[in-house]
Amino acid sequence: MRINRRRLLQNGLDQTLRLGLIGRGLAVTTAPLLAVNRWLIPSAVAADATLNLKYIKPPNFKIIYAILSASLGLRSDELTPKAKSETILTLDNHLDKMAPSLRQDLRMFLDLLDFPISRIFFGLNSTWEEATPDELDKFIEGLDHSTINIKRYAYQGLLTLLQVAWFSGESAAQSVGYPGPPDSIKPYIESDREIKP
Amino acid sequence: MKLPDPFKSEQATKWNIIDGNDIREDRQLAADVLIIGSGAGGGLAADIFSRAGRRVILIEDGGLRTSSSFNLHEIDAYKDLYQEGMTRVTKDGAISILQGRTVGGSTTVNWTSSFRTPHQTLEYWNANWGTKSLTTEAMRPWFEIMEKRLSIQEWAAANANNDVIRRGCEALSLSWHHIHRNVKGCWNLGYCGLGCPTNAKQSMLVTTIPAALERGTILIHRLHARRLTLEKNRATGVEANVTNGSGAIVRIKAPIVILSAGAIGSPSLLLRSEQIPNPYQRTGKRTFLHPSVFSFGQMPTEVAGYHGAPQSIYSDHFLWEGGTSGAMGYKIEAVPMHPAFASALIRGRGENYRQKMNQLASTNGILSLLRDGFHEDSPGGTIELRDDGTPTVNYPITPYLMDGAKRAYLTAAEIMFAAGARAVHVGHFDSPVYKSWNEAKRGISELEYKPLMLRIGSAHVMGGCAMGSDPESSVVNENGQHHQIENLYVCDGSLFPTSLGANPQLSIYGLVARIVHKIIGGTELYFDREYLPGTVQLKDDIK
Ligand SMILES: Cc1cc2nc3c(=O)[nH]c(=O)nc-3n(C[C@H](O)[C@H](O)[C@H](O)COP(=O)(O)OP(=O)(O)OC[C@H]3O[C@@H](n4cnc5c(N)ncnc54)[C@H](O)[C@@H]3O)c2cc1C
Ligand code: SF4
Repeated sequence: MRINRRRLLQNGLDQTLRLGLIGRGLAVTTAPLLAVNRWLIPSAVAADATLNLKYIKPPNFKIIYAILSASLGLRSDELTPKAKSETILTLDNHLDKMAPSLRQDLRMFLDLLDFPISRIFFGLNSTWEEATPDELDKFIEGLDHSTINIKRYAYQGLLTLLQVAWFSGESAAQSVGYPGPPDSIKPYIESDREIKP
Repeated sequence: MKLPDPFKSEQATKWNIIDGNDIREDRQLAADVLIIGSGAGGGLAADIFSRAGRRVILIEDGGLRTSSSFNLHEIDAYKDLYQEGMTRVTKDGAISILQGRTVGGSTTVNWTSSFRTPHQTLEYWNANWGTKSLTTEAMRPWFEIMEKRLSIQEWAAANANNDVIRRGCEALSLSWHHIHRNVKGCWNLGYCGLGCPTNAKQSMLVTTIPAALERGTILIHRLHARRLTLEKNRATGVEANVTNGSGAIVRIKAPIVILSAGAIGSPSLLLRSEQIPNPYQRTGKRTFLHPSVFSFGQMPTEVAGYHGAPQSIYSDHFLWEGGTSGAMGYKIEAVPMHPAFASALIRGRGENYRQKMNQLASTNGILSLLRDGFHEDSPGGTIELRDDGTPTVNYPITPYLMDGAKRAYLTAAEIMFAAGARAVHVGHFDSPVYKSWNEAKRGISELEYKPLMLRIGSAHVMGGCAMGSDPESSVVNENGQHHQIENLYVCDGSLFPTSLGANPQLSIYGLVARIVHKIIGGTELYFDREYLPGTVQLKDDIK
């Protein structure tokens, strides 16, 4: 048991090294968190059955929506059920193309944000359900301004994916005035497009 | 309605194209020439070797996606046509790296800007890397041939996004020029980065690769070169993996092996091939990126930066300002503004971000491409292998680079205001929307320049298999030949010992055309007559 646990801690440490934590004094702080996290939230949490997701888990949804609206300044009426599920699907599809180690980093970041101790470590004291817009804004500011590279790295990676996933949605693109491709080419391109898992 | 797609033509039914996903058992193949990677370097090499009668096998990690499948949806293109679904970043996450992973490589998704290698760069290599034969005069005919071959011509129809650069530069008396593009019958749509749906873009996908296929070249796509094989100090070929889960290995043997997997792919393949000598540890060193920073001008009228040829005006006014090895110089170009792409370049949070995005249709985007590798404080990155063998670039962000980024922001802001911008912001998390040039000047100078605060991107990966005369400081000689393995050649962007200070495709075409002619030997030029401009005199050079 001791050995196993040590191995697990070792794994956690490897991951944190990959996250670029080395030499910043934080490896020690987060490695046990990562390890404990794996005990408590095993990756066996089933993906959402209806969306057929491969990487994103239902506990991640609330975190994604919260970060999405706080980072991109979305109005609550923009986060319709359709926009939500399309964004999650697009994100999940996209994770499939990532380098496995980056994907693992991101997956882990999402898991850590769900786990109270590490959520607080990343700067959010309230639960995701209870956090006010103001708290979320401060949380994000803390991440993008952190003196700790790991926090900026993790947030930046997730944010970019969320931005691209959100603004490739038709209504999001239209909301910022994008009219789609020029009319001259429209008859020649596939217009009906379904986002498939 | 359908537009013609060469890969769906009658002709194409005779081409030898194999999908790696259909291979479920180990296979052995042989050819005269094996080319790994089908981008700018590999596509062109396949064309020339096949014209010289060589039996060529061309392998490509990405899939075969052609014009009829280019639906102009950003997310589909990024996911299917780019390395790591366009999520590739440097090791610390600070620089996003855009590279193609599809037949045609990055040329299938590039923005068509075509520049010859600047004479300052060739002279710097000559003086510092001993590339004596690569003078401006010696390279000129190779560029002329490639310009003919790929219909590279000046593009005068600037869209409003590019025109901001022209107007701003004119108002400030800065030099500017039209960009040359490799297009034929371009519809001026502006979707070059998502795969050209009309085949107007003269990428390798529609030029050299079909020509090579027509001459019997075998193309195997969705096949990943894992390691090179070696016998008695000669490269014998490659061991490649399919990605369909069958575990099948394809072994290809050839007396000439050409590495064209791009400036991350080629050095990492060499590093994975532990038998390949690397006595001075130069493989995968000096990787350059033209790190680029982004600025945005809110104009009084619609810009629609997503429509129209993405790049048509540039300014090199600040590129060599401090001398070749002085302060970091930068090239100024436009950046296309498709919503998902722009959303990742524009920085901010909450309401500030939202307001910036809301102005998309009237926002001009400028990218400033920093010329790295000419100064000791710009040593470039290192290609490293992760445990699973996949590559990553460890690229240090130095104060020298950040100083270039700050000056580049200032120049772009000044150009935008001079062109009539109502407001300007830059690709930094803390950038407010500046309402005047004075405000911007002060604000931009006061921003904190630390990694991950500002968006830095790269679509130009270069180096890692530097050419040079000294094996202690380079990987190949100026003819692309590996210093230790004489039948192994590099034909892609990894050849460059520094960055270029210009978008790379034409430099790659010119160099690779020259290298492949050298390998073939003799004095014949392997291009159709129509591609040979009257002035071309190559006999002495290729002998
Ligand atoms: C979005 C974008 C816009 C650009 N715009 C311009 C522009 O306007 N002008 C310009 O001059 N340049 C531009 N560039 C850059 C230019 O296209 C590249 O510099 C050039 O194509 C590089 O050529 P290459 O042969 O080195 O590699 P690539 O063209 O990238 O080709 C390398 C190929 O090798 C394949 N490969 C990699 N590893 C393996 C492996 N192990 N096994 C098999 N295959 C492998 C890759 O999948 C890829 O298809 C742009 C690039 C991008 C991404
Ligand atoms: S502007 Fe449009 S038609 Fe022209 S090359 Fe680019 S994608 Fe093709």
